[in-house]
Amino acid sequence: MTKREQLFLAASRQKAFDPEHRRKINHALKMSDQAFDQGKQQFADLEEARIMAHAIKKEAITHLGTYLEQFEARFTQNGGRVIWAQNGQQALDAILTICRSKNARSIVKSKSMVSEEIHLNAFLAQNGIEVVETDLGEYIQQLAGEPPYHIVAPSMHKSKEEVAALFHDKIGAAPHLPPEELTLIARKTLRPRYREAEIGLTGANFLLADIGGVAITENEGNARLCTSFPKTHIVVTGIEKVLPSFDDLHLFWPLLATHGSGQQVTVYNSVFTGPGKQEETDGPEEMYVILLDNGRTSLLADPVARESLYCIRCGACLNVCPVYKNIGGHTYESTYSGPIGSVITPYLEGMRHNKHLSYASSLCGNCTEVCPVKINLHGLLLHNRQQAAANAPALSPEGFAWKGWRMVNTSRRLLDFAGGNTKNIALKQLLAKAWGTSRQLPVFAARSFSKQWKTGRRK
Amino acid sequence: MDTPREIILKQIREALSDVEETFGIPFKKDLYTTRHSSLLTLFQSAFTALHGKFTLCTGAADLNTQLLRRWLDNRWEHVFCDDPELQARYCLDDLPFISARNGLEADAVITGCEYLLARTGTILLTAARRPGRALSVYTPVHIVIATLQQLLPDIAEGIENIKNDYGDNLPSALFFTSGPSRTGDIEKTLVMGVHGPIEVHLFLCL
Repeated sequence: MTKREQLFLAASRQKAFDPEHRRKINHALKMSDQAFDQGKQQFADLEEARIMAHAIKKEAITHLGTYLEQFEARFTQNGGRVIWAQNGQQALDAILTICRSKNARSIVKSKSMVSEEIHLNAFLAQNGIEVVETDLGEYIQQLAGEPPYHIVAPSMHKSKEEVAALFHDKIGAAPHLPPEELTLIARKTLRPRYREAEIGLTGANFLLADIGGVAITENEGNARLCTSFPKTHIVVTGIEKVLPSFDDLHLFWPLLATHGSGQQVTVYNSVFTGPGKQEETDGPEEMYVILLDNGRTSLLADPVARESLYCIRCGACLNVCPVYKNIGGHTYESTYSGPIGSVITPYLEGMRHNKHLSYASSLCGNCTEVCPVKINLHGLLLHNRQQAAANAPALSPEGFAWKGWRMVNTSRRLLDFAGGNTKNIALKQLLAKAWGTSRQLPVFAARSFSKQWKTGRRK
Repeated sequence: MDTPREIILKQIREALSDVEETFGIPFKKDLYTTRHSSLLTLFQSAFTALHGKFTLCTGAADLNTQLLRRWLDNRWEHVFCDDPELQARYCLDDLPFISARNGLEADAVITGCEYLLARTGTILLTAARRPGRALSVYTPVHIVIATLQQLLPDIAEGIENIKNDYGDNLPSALFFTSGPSRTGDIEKTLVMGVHGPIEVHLFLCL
């Protein structure tokens, strides 16, 4: 068992039996469920919409090189610059180079999971550049010094009392304020930051190949402010975010909104085609898009796992996952949590240290059933288990145990060789730990069914 | 030595070497539940559901009166408008509280828009129009003036029309905005007006 797996199991055990954590998560997820039920009414046939979205992403991903080059060509024509990064370090170096050339002291950032993936904030802080999170949930997480708990709702695990206490401790707000007041304080605190910052940094929800556009979805308006005032706009995004056409947003915007937050569409769906134009009144002078690989091409190379690159990061699979509901987002210790995180993390951060995540699933299939782009998530979790098992050393203790188990169980003679007591002891030795303390091990009868049957017939 | 760009593109080509067929995308026209009402009714109900404030005006003179009435209710100190076309068409100069100075200090901003999208209650703005990117999201109250001719059924038509209007010279930013800024980040409590406008008013001229 790796160190990460041990920590994962310990943290899971603790969270699963923490009633306060359970209360907060149940509340938040119940609200998400209700909103989703409401939001999906907009589709004449949700299943058809999902099939169509799957087909469009399949088209994009199976021709990824072509669409990325098309995006690059168009975006460059529009006056933007594209930077390719094979890994997190290259992306960080590119961002730092831009910051240095602009003498940047502060960056306003809107929500970006890729920036979490490459640990951007810590890196820039080491280099004397302050990054200000502007999405309210991310701002709360930054004040708390925690990574996001959920890819769409970063501070979902905090009660309003906890947020009020945090604002009181960290930024001197009056104690016990309600959510409306806390939101207003965040608004007032962040307003001047947009105007001071030399650089605005965002992620991308979609890259539009045909127009060289970057589509950003949000509700608060912070991404729009981050891309209005600063003189430089940097987008950091994964290569899989590409869609063939601007037209595809007619489907993907409502689909993302419904699955992410239960809305018809989010409040702000923006498309940026480049830096501000000469004839326009404002906007940044320069715009960069950093296209990050960081393990995505290894997902692409696996014909089965490839479809996990269709993901639009809506978070719906987290919301319905019984494992996520019990252990929460932080327990995964990976940038992307929940079912999609368990599928892709082994490819992004190494199979050896993350294969245990494939077992953090009951294989109930809720994730697959809800996924707006119809990724076979629970099937991919099984696929990862097979990959991990195939790559495991031939004589691992577990492999050895299963070999023995198989040998005994496929032989009537061996199975009847031991009496009930011996079997009970063996079972306890082998399985008691995995079985856990919350349920009782089954007890073998003193004589096996087969033996009893034979005796009975002889009578 | 190969650049990261060449390496990544090469890895993509190699990773996809097993792919042979090209895929068709199933075409479906009616993705969304249709309701048999006029575009105006559809827009009004969707926009109002998003906490937008909707006012129908019979024409330029009526709009001028309605704006004055709204101002009397709210007494915004500084209403900003720098769109010469709007100023001329709706005689905004007659309203003394409107000025084209110090946009960043304004309590309310008046802008036009490209289109209105009925099904989702969306107002489509672009950076090509006044006042650009910042003020329509930075100012606490956003007032939009539009006409019935700008009303389209859905996002698909919005995208189609914008592409026709601008051709190969799309604005640097397009904003599909649906209601005032909102968040649910604190215990899923809905709060209006986080970073963007707290109120969005639409005056639609027949």
